[in-house]
Amino acid sequence: MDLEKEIQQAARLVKDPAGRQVRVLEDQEAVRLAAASGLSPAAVYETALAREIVPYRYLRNHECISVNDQLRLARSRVAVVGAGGLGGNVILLLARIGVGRIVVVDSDRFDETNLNRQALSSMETLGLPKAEVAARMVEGINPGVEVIAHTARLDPSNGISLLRGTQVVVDALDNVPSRFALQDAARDLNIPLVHGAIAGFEGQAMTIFPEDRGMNLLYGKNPKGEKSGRPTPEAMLGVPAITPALIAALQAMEVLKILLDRGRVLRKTMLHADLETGRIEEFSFG
Amino acid sequence: MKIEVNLYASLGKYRRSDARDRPWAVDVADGATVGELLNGLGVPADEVKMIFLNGLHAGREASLKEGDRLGVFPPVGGG
Repeated sequence: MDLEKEIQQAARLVKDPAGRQVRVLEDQEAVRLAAASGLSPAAVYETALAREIVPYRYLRNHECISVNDQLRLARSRVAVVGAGGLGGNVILLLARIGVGRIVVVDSDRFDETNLNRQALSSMETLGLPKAEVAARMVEGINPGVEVIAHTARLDPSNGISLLRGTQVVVDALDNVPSRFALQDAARDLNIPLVHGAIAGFEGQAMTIFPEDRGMNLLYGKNPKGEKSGRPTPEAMLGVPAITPALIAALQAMEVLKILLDRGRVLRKTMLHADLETGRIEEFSFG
Repeated sequence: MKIEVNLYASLGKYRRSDARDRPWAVDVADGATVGELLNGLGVPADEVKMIFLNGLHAGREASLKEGDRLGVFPPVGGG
């Protein structure tokens, strides 16, 4: 079948909330055409967007993300390493905004202590691998997004193979040695890394380009799994739901800015938020 | 001279002020360094990972001056 012709026929004209006319393709049609053509809904979205036909679900993106930018997102591949407190929120945001492919890396399964904060955890998903749950949840939110799930722990031996082909990597990990392994892999692949970390009602975010000192500035020397003998800040202060939601939103926005080459990226600048005092500050590494 | 001291995350336990929502001004001798101030407050050096003076990355040896804003961070790594 001629997919492009079918999409042109299935598209309809609507007015957006500002009264502008937009040609749209509804999901029902996109899914039908995907099944009929043997392609993925993601491929149908891409073909539609390339002809300036907006998947109807993105109508309310349209005001701040142009059709061309929506197409760039649809063609993007982003890795999220860690699918817990930060990662779960980042994955859901990237799926709704329309990043076409999301590589999810997490070796864990959901347990009861994750329910206080991890957006992908629920009574139904306890005991299931986090990466697989991410794929299932995203499928239910946006069939135009493909999740490539890896139930694996990223380490120096597998980082490059897990992340190859992605344009941006999100650091949604929960420990320092793994963050260094992730930074090494992102450097080797020459891709930017969007860092986020939380403890209590405070959190931080920063984008690290391959030539930046990154983790070495944030954490000093690579601890390589050695225990300092002290409990970590997050062990002492806990990790409540509100903090990862905020930091994940900042991380998702960094991804968007990098992919679309717009806005001001938080490079060599750590943004710190203290939700209890309401203070958001920037700290510069010069 | 007075320095505004901000101890973040788990370093907050070394703060000797109840008012978390107000700047904490600490008196130090003229010419004191960041390290001397932190030692005076009893903040263990091995708990400190990042120091910022007036929002810019700095080291323990940096000299302080009246009205400086000091920010001190532990290694926050939760997710």
